[in-house]
Amino acid sequence: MSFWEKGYLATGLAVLVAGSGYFAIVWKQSLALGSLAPPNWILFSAYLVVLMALSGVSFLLLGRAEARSDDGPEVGDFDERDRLIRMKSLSATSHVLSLGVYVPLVWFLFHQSGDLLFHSLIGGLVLAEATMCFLHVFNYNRAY
Amino acid sequence: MAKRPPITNRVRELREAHDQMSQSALAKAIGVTRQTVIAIERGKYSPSLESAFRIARVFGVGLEDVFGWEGD
Repeated sequence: MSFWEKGYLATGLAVLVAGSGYFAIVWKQSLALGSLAPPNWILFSAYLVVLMALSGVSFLLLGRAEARSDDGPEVGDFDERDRLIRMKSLSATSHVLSLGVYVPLVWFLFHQSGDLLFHSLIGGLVLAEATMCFLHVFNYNRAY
Repeated sequence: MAKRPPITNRVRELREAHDQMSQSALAKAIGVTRQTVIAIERGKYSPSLESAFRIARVFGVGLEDVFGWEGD
């Protein structure tokens, strides 16, 4: 596995962990309230901080580990294959991101709930980001 | 998994014939990462025309001595 492949895998897992944490708390709060919990900037900030911390720490650890291995000089290098993989992955991710934005918007038209719109947009972003990371890993392992 | 590209190559063979040149050394010489050299050798990635020429020049041979079409 290359540095970028491991990095995308770690980031994908970080997105899933942070996203699951966010929705677990929203679920718990909603059960306590008896209706959908309203968006809350503390929870949203905590989600972003956890996401950035997890991906930052994993890239830092990966960078250190790679620097000690034979692949040392390659750490952070980005070549033609990496660019092609990024292009293919981002192209497919853009469809998921569009879906993750349009579905909540259509939902909003029917339910008129701003709280639901906010949480579903976060869900769409989590889905798109996780898709992007795992598509990178998939594309690094396929032949083309 | 996607179908492998129909392009074959002798990169590994030529590299070994060149004083057991390492994958890292070849990667550095052509300006790609070692992972890309590994992918080329395994037939999982067809390099750009520029990289293909660079590989051929490193070994001092023609493009057709390095790359071929499956079945030819």
